[in-house]
Amino acid sequence: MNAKIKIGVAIALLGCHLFILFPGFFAPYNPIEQNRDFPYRPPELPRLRDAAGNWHVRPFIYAATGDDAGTPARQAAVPIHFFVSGARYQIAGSLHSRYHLFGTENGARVFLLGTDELGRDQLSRLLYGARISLFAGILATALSLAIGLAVGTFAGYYGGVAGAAVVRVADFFIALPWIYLLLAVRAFLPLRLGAGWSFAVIVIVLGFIGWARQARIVRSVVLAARERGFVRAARGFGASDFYLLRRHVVPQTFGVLLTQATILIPQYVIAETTLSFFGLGMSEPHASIGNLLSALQHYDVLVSYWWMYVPAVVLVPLCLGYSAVASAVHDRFGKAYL
Amino acid sequence: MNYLARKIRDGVLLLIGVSALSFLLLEIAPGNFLSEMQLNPQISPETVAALRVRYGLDRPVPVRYLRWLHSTATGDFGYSFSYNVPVADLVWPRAKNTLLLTTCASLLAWIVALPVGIGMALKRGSAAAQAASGIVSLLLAIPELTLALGALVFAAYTRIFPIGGMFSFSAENASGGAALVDLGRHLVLPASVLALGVAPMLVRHIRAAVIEVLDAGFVRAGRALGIPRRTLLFEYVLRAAANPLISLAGLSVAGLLSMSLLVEVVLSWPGLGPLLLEAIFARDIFLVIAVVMLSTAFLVCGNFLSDFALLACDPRIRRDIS
Amino acid sequence: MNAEHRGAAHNAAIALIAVTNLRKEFESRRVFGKALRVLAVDGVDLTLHQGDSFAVIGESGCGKTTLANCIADFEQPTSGSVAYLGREVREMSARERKQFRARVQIVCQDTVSSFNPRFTAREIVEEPLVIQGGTLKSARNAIVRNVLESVGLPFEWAERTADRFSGGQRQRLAIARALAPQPELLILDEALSGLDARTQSQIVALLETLRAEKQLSLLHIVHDLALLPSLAGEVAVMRRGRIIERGDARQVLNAPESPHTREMIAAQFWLCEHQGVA
Repeated sequence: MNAKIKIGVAIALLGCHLFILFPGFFAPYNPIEQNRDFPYRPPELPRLRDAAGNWHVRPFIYAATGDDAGTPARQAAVPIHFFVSGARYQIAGSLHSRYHLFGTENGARVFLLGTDELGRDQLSRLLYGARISLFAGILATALSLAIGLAVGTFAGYYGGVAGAAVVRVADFFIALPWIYLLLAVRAFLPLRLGAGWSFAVIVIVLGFIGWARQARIVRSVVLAARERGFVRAARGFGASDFYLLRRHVVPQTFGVLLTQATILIPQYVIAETTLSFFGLGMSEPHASIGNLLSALQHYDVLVSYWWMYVPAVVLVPLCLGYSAVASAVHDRFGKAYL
Repeated sequence: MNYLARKIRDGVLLLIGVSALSFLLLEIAPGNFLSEMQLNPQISPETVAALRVRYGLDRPVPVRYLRWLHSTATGDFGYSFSYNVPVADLVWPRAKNTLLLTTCASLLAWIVALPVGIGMALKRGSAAAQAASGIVSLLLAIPELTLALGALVFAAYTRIFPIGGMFSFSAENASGGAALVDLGRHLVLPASVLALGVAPMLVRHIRAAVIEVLDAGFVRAGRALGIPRRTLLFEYVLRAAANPLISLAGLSVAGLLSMSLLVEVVLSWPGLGPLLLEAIFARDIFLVIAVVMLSTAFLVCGNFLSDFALLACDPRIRRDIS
Repeated sequence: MNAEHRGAAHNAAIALIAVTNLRKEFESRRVFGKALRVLAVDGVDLTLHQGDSFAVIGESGCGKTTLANCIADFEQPTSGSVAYLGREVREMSARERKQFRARVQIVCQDTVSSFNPRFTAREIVEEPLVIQGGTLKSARNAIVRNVLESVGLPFEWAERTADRFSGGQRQRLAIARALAPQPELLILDEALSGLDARTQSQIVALLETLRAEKQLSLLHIVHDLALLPSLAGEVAVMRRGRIIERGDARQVLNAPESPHTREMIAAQFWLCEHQGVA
């Protein structure tokens, strides 16, 4: 892949994050709002051509309005408007807004990705769920990198018996199959947790199981940096260990850490998805990608409601994007300066 | 120290480490099987206290650990709270199924990955190789969960392959041959999903290993000497590339086991994976530890096999020992 | 403290640096369970007064760089002592040692790794001052300008990162950095070998001026005899960790006493003549 394509992919990925990190505006509805009248509605794409064969400028859907939901015979064409006012949501936890990217003006429901068994809008749940999964992935990555940086710097800079011990323990963590490790650690924590705690547990468990590889990588960079001429020179000027670490040694690891971050985030998003899919992560009614997928464990959902599989597909472009960015970042910053 | 002895020592250390870590976690973890039981109003506190003593939960951790080690040495792996039987009775049949699945899947993955990887290395730069490498990148980006669920959806809609389990109800009383065919039909879906999950990574490594050998001086010299292409490929390139590939086989065991757990759970293959989840939900701690230990043992065995194969293939390692 | 020390040095002629019976042993990697020991410096005595110029010559591997590193406190001697103004370096407190490190500067031959590639020339040159502390930003700026220009690097280049400097420029940058904390002793470990003749002579002239004006002492570590005549002062010839001959530079060059020195000089002249023919 050439550099221009990689940059394009990186920008597209950033765009996806905007979608996912500010779901309130892009999602037409509140993700936990139930519409018991519309269980398992199939996805409905906006149309431009009506049943009579006439073309319309404004996209529309055939929707049952809230009132005549019980009478499925004739459904009215409902135009889709942009920047409509709808359910209240918060931006970044503090600002309130009512504006959504699209919606209808007469209360009729648009379910672009269908609904689940409780009639909740899958698109809204997917956007909010992806936010949870992505946040968990990013925070767990930050935690892993922080632990890896601290432990790896210690092991590489001070070395000795403690450093060797750290390497041994890290090798032990790296050798284990990661899902078994993840589940084993998760198994010892309480099963039923509130939303906040289950999120925290996911982040901590993921961060904890992933530190080892980062620590080894950081250690090798620090080991090399420690003996570099400019570190020796600065030590010769009377620099303290703290100065050396802060000014010379730790900055050398940033490039590698950035590469590792782009590799880890999608892995952790998948790990979160897996945990929640197993029922050990985020719990209902809060959405996460894994949570949404766990509906597929019911055979009737599997054979009848294919759109419940869509959240699994969403992970693919995310992973592809991150792997392109990872390779770009690796080309640019991957090797520590020599 | 002897090469193999060192490898065995590393494996044993890993197993001891995993079990010790498990007991440590057990000690710091809030709640256990009995504390869940305490919440149940139908069970009297006396019963719970009696169970505590019976399971030895009133003892300090080191004592419990030694007891468990003893129980493991005698082949019981401790006692399952929720099933009320020695853990070994639960674990072994499941372990066999996991072994069957992972073995078939990795065989399948290697059978596909070897020719593809070698072909991509030989035809480096050609349109076909670039297309193949694009497909490999795409497959690498598909999470195992997506893959397994996709297979499930596919099977549910097409109904070509049975979903879930190892045997059909109808085939319960079938003769040996028919039962085997039935087992095979059940195995196809999970094994191919698992193989599809592992193969892209193998293809990448095989391609890289072969390319590295192709670029090496002795191969270029061989080509210059006019050694036939086929001889060069099989006698020189592949023999030299075998070494990293055997190591790769050992290293891929951990990933294979992880993926296998997911596939087993999603496609209801009665292996260790579903058992582990059941055990976690039942807070059946010894069962959890046994399953984790067993998967680690698989890992250690896989690594040991690859080390042994390396020893058999690589004269340099043999020479270092003697 | 420094003023006081300097005063003391002048009055009582206490040596700036006194090296007595210095030994440095390296334990290289174990082969078959037995550690290989290498004696890099084997009982060296050396005295340097303020304003002295001293050169240590010898072939590679003779221990001259290790000697320099021991004097600059980069390495701990196995036995023997290094004293700065009569004060034993290994007995110094952390504070004293830090001050000592500003007073003695070393410039290495290897300039590839001696600068952090992310640093600008300014950051590189002012680093010793920042580490030592106590210099205001404006004062640092003046010092940076002063030392950069004195080694012949334009002040406009101060914001360039190190990787944009050529080999010779990096060598000058290293010398500028060493001069920034106004040292009393400058150790040049093959620091001039990589430079072209013009730059070499410029820098030698600069160092000689500093020696005359500011009583800067110089310790040259060289393998290249061609430079020797221009470096005034005393010379010591090292071989296998020992000093085998010492004396005035011209005298050693013109009438070497030890056969080894004679060989070295002969080889050098043979090389010069044949280069001339080619």
